[in-house]
Amino acid sequence: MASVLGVLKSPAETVGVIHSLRGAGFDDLEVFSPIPSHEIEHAFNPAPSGVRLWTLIGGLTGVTLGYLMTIWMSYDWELVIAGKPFASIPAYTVIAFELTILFGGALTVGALLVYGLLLPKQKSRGYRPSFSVGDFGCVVECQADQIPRVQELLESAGCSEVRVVEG
Amino acid sequence: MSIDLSKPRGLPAVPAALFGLLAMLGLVVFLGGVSSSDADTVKRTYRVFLHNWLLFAALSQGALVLSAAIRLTNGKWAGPVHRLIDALGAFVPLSLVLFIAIWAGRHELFGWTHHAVYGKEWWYTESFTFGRDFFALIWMTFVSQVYLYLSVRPSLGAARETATGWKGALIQRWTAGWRGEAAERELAERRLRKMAAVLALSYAISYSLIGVDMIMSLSPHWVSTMFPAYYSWGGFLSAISMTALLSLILRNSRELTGEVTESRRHDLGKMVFAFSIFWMYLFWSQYLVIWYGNIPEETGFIAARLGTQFLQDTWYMTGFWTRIAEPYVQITLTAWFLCWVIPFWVLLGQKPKKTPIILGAVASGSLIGFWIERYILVTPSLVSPEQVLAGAPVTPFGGIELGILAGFIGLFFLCFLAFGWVFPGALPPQDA
Amino acid sequence: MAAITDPVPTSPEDYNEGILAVLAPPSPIYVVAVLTMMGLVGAGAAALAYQTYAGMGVTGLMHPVMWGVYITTFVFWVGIAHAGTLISAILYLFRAKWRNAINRGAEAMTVFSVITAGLFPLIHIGRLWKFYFMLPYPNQRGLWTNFKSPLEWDVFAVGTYTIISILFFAVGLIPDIAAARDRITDWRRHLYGVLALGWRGTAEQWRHHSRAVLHLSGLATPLVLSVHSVVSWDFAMSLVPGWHTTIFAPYFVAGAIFSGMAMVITVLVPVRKAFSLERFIRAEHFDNMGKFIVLTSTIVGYAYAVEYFMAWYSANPYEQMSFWHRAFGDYWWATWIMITCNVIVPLPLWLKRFRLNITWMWCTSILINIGMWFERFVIITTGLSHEYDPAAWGYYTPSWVELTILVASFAHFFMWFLLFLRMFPVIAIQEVKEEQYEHAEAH
Repeated sequence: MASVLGVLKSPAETVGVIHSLRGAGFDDLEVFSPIPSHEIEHAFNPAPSGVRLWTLIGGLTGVTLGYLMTIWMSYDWELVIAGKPFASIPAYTVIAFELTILFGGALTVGALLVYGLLLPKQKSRGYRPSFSVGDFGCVVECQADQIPRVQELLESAGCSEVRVVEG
Repeated sequence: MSIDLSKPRGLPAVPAALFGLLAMLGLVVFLGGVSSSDADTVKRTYRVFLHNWLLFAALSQGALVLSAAIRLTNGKWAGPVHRLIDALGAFVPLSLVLFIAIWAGRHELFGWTHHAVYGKEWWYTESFTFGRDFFALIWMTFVSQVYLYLSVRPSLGAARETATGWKGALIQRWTAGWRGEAAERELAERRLRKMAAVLALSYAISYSLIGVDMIMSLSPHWVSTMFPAYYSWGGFLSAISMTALLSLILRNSRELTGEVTESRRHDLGKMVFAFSIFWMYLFWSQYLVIWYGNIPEETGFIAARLGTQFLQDTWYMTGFWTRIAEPYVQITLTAWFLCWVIPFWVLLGQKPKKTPIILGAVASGSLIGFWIERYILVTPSLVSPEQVLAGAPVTPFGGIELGILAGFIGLFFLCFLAFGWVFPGALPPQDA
Repeated sequence: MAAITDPVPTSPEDYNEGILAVLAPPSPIYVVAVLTMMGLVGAGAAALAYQTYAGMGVTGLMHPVMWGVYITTFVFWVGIAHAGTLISAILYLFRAKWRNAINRGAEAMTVFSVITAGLFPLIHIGRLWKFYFMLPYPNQRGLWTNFKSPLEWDVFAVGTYTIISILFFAVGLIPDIAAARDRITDWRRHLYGVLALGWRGTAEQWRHHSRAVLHLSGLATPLVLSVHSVVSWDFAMSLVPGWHTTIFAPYFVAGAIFSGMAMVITVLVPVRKAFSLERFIRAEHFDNMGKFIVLTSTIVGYAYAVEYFMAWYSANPYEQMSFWHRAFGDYWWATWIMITCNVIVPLPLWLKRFRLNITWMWCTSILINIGMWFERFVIITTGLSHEYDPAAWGYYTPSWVELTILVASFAHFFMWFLLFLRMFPVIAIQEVKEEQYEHAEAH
C-alpha cells in the first residue's frame, strides 16, 4: 500500500478532489482541514455522528436520576418541610433539569472523545503543521502501481503540491 | 424570480367571500348575544369578545414586533416572508376600533366599574383605565402605520405608475415625493431601524398595560410582576406561529413560490420551537414562585385555572382523575399541551421542522392553544370554579365562542388580504 | 451610517500568526500585572484565614442582614459568567457570525467567573470544612439534604454550570491547541501536544466535533437561563418583601447577560489594544455588543419599573414600604447608583456613534459593572434590613474583611484571565478563519 498527499487551498477545491477520487474508485481517503466545512463533510456523505445518540442517552439518564434521587431520598427520611409534600415535583424538576443538562453534556463530550479522538485509526501520515493554518490536505491510500494515476488525478484537480508520503 | 409589480393584484374571490361570511357571522352572533334579554348571555358574549380581542390584537401587534426584531437583528433569513409578517399587522387599526366594544361592555366585564378596588381606587376607574388604554392603542396604531408605511413605500414604485381609482390615489399619496427605487429603499431601511426600536419598546409598554388592565383587573387583588410580560410574549409567539402557518399555506402562491425553501422552513421551525420553550420558561418561573410562596393572594389566580392540587401537587397520591376533573383544569392543560408540550417534543429533531405538514400542524395547534390560553386567562376570573360546579357553562367551544372566533378570523384575514390587494408589491420578494 | 474602517485579516496565515502571537514570552508589564493580582488574591486569602479563625463575627453580617457582600458578589460573578454562554451557545444557534471574534475570551471569562462565584458560598458558610453538607449525602442519622431548598438547587445549578462551561470551553479549544502545537517551538509544544489529544483536523474529527458543539450549545442555552433563574429563586422563593416576586427569573437572566456583556467589553478593550488584535476584534463587534447592552439594559429598566409599579399595585403595605425604603431609605444611594448606571448610563448607546466609540464603550461598561454589583446589593440588603417587623429593622455595613475578599475576587478573576491569555489562544482561530474562506468563496 502507498499513500499520496495532495495539498489544496480551499474547501471548494478539496470537495472537487474528493469527488474526482471517489469517482475513480479511490475510497480510502483522509482529508485534513483547518476549519470545519459542511461541504467537505457532505462530500463524504457520512451517517449522522454517533454523538447524537449519547446526548440523548445522557439527558434521559439525568432526568430519571434527578427525579429518582430526590424522591427516594425524601421518602427515605420523611420530613415535612414548609408544608410541602415529601415528593414535591415542581421543586425537584429544577434538580432533574440540571442533571439532564449535566449528564447530557458530559456524555456528549465523552462521545466526542471516543468517536473523534480515540476510535479513529490514527492516520496522521502525511499530516503537516500547515494543515492547522490554511492548507487542506488529502491523503489517498492506493496500491503501489496506482500511484501515477492518483498523482495525475490530484494534479488535475488543482493540488498545489502532490507527493508520495509512503510506499 | 421577478414579479410584475405593476399588475394590480385581484382580491382572491373565494377566500375573501369566505372570510367576509365569517365576519358577518361573528357580527350577527355578537349583536345577538349583547342584545339578548338573558343577562348571562350578554356577559358571556362580552367575555368571549374580550378573550378573542386579547388574542388577535396581541397577535397582529406581535407580528409587527417580530418584523421589527428581524430588522434590528439584520435577519436575512426571512426574505419575502418578511412581507407576510408585515401584512399580519394590517389588523392593528381594526383592533383599536374593536376595543370600543370592550369599552361598551365594561359593566358586564369589570367588577371594579361597580365597586372600587381597595388600594387601587384611582387606578381602576372607567375614565382613567379606558382613557390610558385607548391612548396606548392609538399610539400603537400610529406607530404601526408609520412602520408599515416605511416598509411598504419602496415597493410601490411600479404600482404608482399603473394603479387607478382609489387604490391609485392611495398609492400616489403613499409615494408622494418619490426619489427613485434605490434611494427610497436606502432611506426606508435607515428610518425603519429607528421605527423598529420605537415599535418594540412601545409594544412592551402598551401591551403590558393592556395585560394589567384587561386581564389582571378581572381578579383585581391578584398580583404578579411577571404577568404583563408573559401576556405580551404570548402575542409575539402567536405571531410566529401564524407566520409559520401562513408561509406554509401560501408557499405556492404567486409571491412565495419557491421561497419557502427547506432552510427557511427549518428557520421557521426553530423559531416556533425556541420561543415556545421561552414561553414555557416564563410560565414556569411565574408558577414556581407562586407555588413555593403559597400566599393566598397569589395562589387564587392559579388555583382557579389549574385546580387546587397543582399548588400542593399531591395529585399522584390522592387521585389524579378526580383532581383533573375540577373545573377548567383540563382546558388549561390542553392549552399547555398545544403551546409547549407538542411544539417541543415534535419539533425537537431537524426533519419535522422542515416537513411542511408537521410544522403546519404544530403551528396551527399552537394557535389554537393560544386561543384556549386567552380563554383561560379571562374566563375563570369571571366565572369562578365554584360557579362552574354550581352549573355555569364553561365550554370554550359553545356557539357564542365559536361564532365570535369566526368573526375575528374573518376580520383578521380580510385585513390581511386587503393589505396584499391594495399594495401589489406588499408580498413579493423585495427584501431577498 | 458611520464607516467601519478597521482592517480585516488578509490570509489564513495572518489569523494564526496574529492570534498566536499573544502566546509569545510575556512582557514585564504582564508579569507585574499577574504578580499584583496574585498579591491581592493572597490578601483575600489572608482575610479569609482570619475570618475562618476568628469566626463570622469579623464580618458586618448581623441580624437582620445575614446575607451581605458575599452573597452579592456570588450573584455578581454568576451573572458575569452568563455572557460567555450567551455568546458561545445562543449566538451560535442563531448563526450570528460576529460572535466568533469574542467567543473564546467570553467563554474563558465564564469559566473563571463561575469558579470565582463558586468560592463565595464556601466563604459565606464560615466553616469551610463543612462544605460537603451541601452534597446529597446522608448525615449520621440518615437525613438527606433538603431538595426543596433553592440553596440546594443552586448547588446543582452552579455545579452543572461550572462543569458544562469548562467542557464547552475545552471542546472549543482542542483545534486551536493543535494550531498552537504546530506553531510554538518552546517547551509548551509538548504540553499542547498532549492537550490537543491527537487532533489532526480530519473530516471525521470535524464531523463529530461540529455535532458535539451543536449539542453542547443546545444544552447550554436552557442551562444559562436556568442558572440565573435558580440564583434569583434563592430570593424569590422566600416571603421577604422585595424578594418574593415572579419576574425575578427573567429579570435576573437579562441582568446577568447585561453585566456579562459589559465585562466582556471591559476585558477585551485593553487586551485588544495590548496585543494588537484590532483586525480580529473590530468596531463592528463593539457595535453588536453595544446593541446587546441596550437591549438588556432596557429589559432591566422595564423590570425595575414593573417591580415598583406592582409593589404599589399589590396594595400590600409591607411590599410598598420595602420599595419606598429601597428608593428613599437608608440605602437610597445604592439604589440610585444602580438605576443611574444600569438604565441611564447605557442610553447613549442607542446611537451608533457611541457604540463605535471604543473609549466610550469601555467607560460605560465599567459603570455598568458597578451598577450591576449594586443592583444585587440593593436587592439583598434592603430586602433583609427592613422586613415585616420594625423592631427587627437594621443597617448593614460591610467590614474590612468582606471588602478585602470582594477586591480579591476581582483579582482572582483577572489573575486567571491573564494566565489564560498566555496559555491559550484568546480568539477562536478556526472560527474566525471561517470568515476568510467564506469571503474567498464569495468572490
